[in-house]
Amino acid sequence: MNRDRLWAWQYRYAPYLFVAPFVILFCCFLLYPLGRSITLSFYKAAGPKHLVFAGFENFRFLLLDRLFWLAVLNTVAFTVAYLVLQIPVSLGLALMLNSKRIWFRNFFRFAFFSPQLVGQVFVAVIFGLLLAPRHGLVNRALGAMIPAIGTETNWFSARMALPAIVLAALWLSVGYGMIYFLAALQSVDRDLYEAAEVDGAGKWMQFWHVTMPGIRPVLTFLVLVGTIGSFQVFELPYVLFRPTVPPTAVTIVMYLFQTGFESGDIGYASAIGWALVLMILIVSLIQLRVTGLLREDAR
Amino acid sequence: MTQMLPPIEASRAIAKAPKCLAPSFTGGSRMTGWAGFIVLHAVVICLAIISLTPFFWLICATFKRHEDFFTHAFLPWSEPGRWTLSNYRLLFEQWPFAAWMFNSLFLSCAHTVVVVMLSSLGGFALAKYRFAGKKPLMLIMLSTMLLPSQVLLSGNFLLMYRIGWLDSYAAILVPGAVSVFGMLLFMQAMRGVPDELLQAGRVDGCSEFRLWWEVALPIVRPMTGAYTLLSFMGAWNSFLWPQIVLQTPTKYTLPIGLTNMLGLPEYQTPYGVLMTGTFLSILPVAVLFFILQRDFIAGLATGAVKG
Amino acid sequence: MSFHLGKPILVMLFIAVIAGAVALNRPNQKKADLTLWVFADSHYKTYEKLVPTFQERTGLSVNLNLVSGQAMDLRMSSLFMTNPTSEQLPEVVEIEIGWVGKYFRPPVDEIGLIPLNDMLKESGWYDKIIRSRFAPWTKDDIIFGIPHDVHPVTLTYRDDLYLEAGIDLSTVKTWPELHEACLKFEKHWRGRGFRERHAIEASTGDSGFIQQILLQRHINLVDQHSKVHINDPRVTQTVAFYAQMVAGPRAVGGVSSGAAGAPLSKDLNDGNLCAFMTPDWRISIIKRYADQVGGKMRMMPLPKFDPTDSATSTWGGSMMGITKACKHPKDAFKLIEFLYLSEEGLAMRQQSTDIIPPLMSVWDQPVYQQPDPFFGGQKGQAMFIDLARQIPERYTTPASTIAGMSLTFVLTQAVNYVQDHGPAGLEAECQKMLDVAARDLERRVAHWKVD
Repeated sequence: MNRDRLWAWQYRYAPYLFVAPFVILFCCFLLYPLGRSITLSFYKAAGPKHLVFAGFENFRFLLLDRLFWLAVLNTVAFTVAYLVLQIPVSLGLALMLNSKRIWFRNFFRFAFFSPQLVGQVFVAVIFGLLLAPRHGLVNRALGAMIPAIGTETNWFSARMALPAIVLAALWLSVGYGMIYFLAALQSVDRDLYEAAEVDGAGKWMQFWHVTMPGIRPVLTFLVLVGTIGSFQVFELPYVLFRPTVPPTAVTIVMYLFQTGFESGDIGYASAIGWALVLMILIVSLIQLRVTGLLREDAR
Repeated sequence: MTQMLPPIEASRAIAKAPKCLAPSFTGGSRMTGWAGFIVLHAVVICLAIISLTPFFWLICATFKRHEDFFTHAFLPWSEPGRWTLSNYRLLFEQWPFAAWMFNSLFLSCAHTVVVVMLSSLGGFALAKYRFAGKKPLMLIMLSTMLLPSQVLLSGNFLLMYRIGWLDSYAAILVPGAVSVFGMLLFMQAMRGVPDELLQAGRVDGCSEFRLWWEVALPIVRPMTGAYTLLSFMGAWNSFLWPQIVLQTPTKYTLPIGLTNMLGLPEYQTPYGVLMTGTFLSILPVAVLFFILQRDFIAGLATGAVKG
Repeated sequence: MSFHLGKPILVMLFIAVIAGAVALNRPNQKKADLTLWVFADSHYKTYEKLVPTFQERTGLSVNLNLVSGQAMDLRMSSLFMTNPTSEQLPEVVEIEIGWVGKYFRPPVDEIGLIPLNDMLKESGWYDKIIRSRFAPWTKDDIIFGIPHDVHPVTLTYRDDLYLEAGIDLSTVKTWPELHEACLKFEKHWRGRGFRERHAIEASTGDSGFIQQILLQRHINLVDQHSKVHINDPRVTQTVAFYAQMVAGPRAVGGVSSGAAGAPLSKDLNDGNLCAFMTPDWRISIIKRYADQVGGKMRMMPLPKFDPTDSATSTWGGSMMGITKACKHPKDAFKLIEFLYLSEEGLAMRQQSTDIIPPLMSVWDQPVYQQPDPFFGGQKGQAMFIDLARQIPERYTTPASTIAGMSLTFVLTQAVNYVQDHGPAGLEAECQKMLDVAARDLERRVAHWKVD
């Protein structure tokens, strides 16, 4: 009898027990910093005794802060440029590697995924050296292949900063997207292709009507995760452009860091952080609405 | 977040036969002959070369003298006398590289074990149970993914300071013990576990915990492999937070130790040594990737991919 | 029962348990009498050699920690805000000139560092250290740091290549003259097919060069009273001048080699960049890597715009300060004295770098008067010391970082303007943009006021 009660008890409370670690950690380690950063965004913080409530003043300042909006512009430009390139390239690679006729599939998979094994900071350091004017590998190659361009492209200048970050980011993450697409391609049913072929659909039609619907979930997933990640991009450009970051490479999080930890305005930095959260929220909601994901989630 | 709604026909197909290899766009039967084969390989090889060149450059850089660092694109091939192992020697002599490696190994392993276990438990609960508060819980989880960690950095640091965890590994391991992303991945994968199996287990008198261990986990084995790799990579390269909490030099991890070599222009950076450290630090994750490569893709196929 | 999380996890569990037994038992660093945080690997390696002597001599134990600038920023600004006397803070800390401004945000009595005026005066160092070098570490006349360096700036150039082009650069006295000389230089070498040979190192994306000139002209973008000078007419003139030096029809600047050290040496040896702004710290880097140009280099004071300008500027630097967490500031002061100002400390510095100390009392020593074969027998150190006496005051405020960013932003736009429209109307355009930047900075400074 007792045993039965115990069994019923564990059946009833098991799910709570299973999610308990998350709930406990959330309460212990997230609520305090969360609360602190929300409160701080309404304060002006100058010193231990100079913590002054300022209402919405930080946010009002933010609305007219042209450096902030420049950072927003840069971040959006990066996000768009990055996604527009990363997704098709990843998908293309996945399609090629998914071919039955490809040799050394595992080797190629590793070749494309391996940049992901390198930490962002180190990718930034390596690219800082690869992109060096005159002697960096990239400029040497450019100069050798297209003499008209020469070896002196300054990737760290305002004009080339965005391409430089996108280049490094692409090298880093194209393989990551490829792996996801590969996974998706492998779960598309072969029967569907055969059926399409019987119907007389060409390669292009097959791709459009069978492959695309099959990988659409992954596509949306990658776009969503890519957007969130790009909006939060920080370490890569921060280390890549050390020590002087050109104004066109300052991202939102980097600006947050500059105001908070380089200029010491922690209150304003928190406000920037929450503005960013709001932006990501809006963009993600739009993406979710467009792709109809939310309906499924509410299940 | 990872819950996707595939079009009806595709989802039906997936439910029917999840693991068959689809003929791909380029690999169909009509595109016959060697021409297609060669073009395909030529393109892939070119791209692979581009992708691997930075690694090749990195390896060469570890054998270059400081003066040669930029003088030669890769290595001074014609003068083997200029090649050097001094970067490796310096790295181990002048920096506690072995200790960093050891600490990184410990932290990443411990983190991965805990996070895979707890995240799969959480994912199991979310996928296979109805319970009060599930919906708000999911909402909270999703919103934490939107938070840039930098917003919370200062608060987290002060919290660790207040509870006296600064300079301890607990400050890294405990707050990171569960991952929202991991829970969501496992939730997706666990949805594929048939309810009938679980019921049958219950009839046999299995506890819920044992059902997770003996019924659910074996089914999502590829997902476990994929997530093992993902979380190990994350821990191995994590940098911002550890460098803020760890203070005793003997406790530093690889990224902390290596990035400390980066100087402002005034304070020279030993690039050769730094590149050597970077190269060596990639090796353990590369090995893990080779081991888990097959699981990785199969796992993601059950996780993020399907509904 | 098999292990359903997979073999890799089993192996990791094994490693974690074994390694954990070692790692978790690693003793925390014992609290020493003094803890010193240093942010640069090269400084760390120097102090590492000095600290044992100090410990022996004073009986005080010292923990020397290398902490990245980022970690230092975050830990110190968080703790200074909440608990400035926390044990987690170091007693002594070395801070870089670009990072110190933020600590000066609170009113002086709430700054996390302790005032050093009294100790400096009692010990007599106050009169021996060059006064203007206290400026970056001072707020409202209270000194919070002891300077490590002076970092005067000279112009270093490839004399051989300039002479070949028929130019004796040492006769150049003003910036416009320098620009003309550079144009002549470029014309000469372009005509001979040297496409990558540039007269001077100057990048389009970095306002550092401009800020050097501005300091020469005694302009801090934001001064010690938080007054904004970014739209001073002389700033406009300088930005417009520099923009034409790096872009448009009269461009002579070669893009900087990027990261310090190695790539620079290649450019020097090949003669790609033929003149540089060189603070003293850069000399040892150049000497170390540019092995093929010894004897071909010369050094000169900076050209000027106005006769009242200083013949030098200042670039970079660091200081050591004592935090409020320090219980025995006298001991901490002793450590700083030993590392920065003592004979041993200076000797160690002399060994590895050409950085001259801020101590006027040692400037007459014969070590600093030696002819330098690298500069064809010029007395390089003596020139630096001569210039150090005229060094302009550089102030640091919480707004300095942002001000630098704003200036770079204006420079970017100015460069675009020159490239698209040429030099006509450039100054007026710059003035307009700088006025906008000034308003933005003033608004920022006003926003920061708490009272």
